[in-house]
Amino acid sequence: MVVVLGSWSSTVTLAAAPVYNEGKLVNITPISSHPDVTKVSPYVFRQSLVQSQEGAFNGASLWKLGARSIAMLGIPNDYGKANMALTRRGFETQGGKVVFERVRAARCPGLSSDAAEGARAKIPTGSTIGAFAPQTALILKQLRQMGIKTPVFVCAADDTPDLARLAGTEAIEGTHLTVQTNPVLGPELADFYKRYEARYSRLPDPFAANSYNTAMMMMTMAAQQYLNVSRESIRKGL
Amino acid sequence: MNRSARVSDEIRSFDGIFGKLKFDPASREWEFKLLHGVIENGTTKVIN
Repeated sequence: MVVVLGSWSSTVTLAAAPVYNEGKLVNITPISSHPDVTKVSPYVFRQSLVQSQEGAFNGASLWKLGARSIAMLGIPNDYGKANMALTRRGFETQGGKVVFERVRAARCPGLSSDAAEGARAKIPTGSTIGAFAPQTALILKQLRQMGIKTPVFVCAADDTPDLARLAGTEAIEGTHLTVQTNPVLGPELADFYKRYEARYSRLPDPFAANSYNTAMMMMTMAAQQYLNVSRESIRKGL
Repeated sequence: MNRSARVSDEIRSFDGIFGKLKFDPASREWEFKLLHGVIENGTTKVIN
């Protein structure tokens, strides 16, 4: 083994870093977006957005939408906490104010009722959700059932067909989000979407696109280093 | 797909499905472009 592609979760990538470091084995993650991922080991790399970048973008986008006070909801893992903290920083940098903030375990039923409480808090002009599709779907359904009309901004990880499958198209209609992957971004990506849908009968999400791109890069590197591929050659190549 | 990564040296860019991505050696991060989208009829539409 000369390289590991993965992991998916920032929490797992951060926890595994000492093992990769000890084995002098490159781990490149296409998904884990916590800011510390590339700081914990010289053998841990990534090819994805970073929460510091997304948080600043989320904050600026909410401000442009006219939100001046927001409610924030999310999940208490490394990803969710980083997303919320950095979105908060991004929004406050713009001059905005966070009037409600709550993290809740992913499978906790209270996540949905938090949405109601958050939406009522001091009349926020927007909401953000730092969570993955299963939790975001719950919150969006609750907000829609309450008739909440203020803008809701969700993260790039929620740009997945799973959101509509879990929440229904009506509940997610009009939801704003950060986009990292979309067929309009270029002909190569459009072609990837077309081929992915033909093969799997569903559109790809950012995780699929990032994983494909990272795998192609690593295979290109391995092919060019053929006959001399080693853990150290891979690390030097990156 | 045009794969223009120069991997005989260190990779500083990769031309894959996202187009040309650049690597910042200082931060050890790849630079992804982010856009603002809105969901319409169950599909993400890029608006900005």
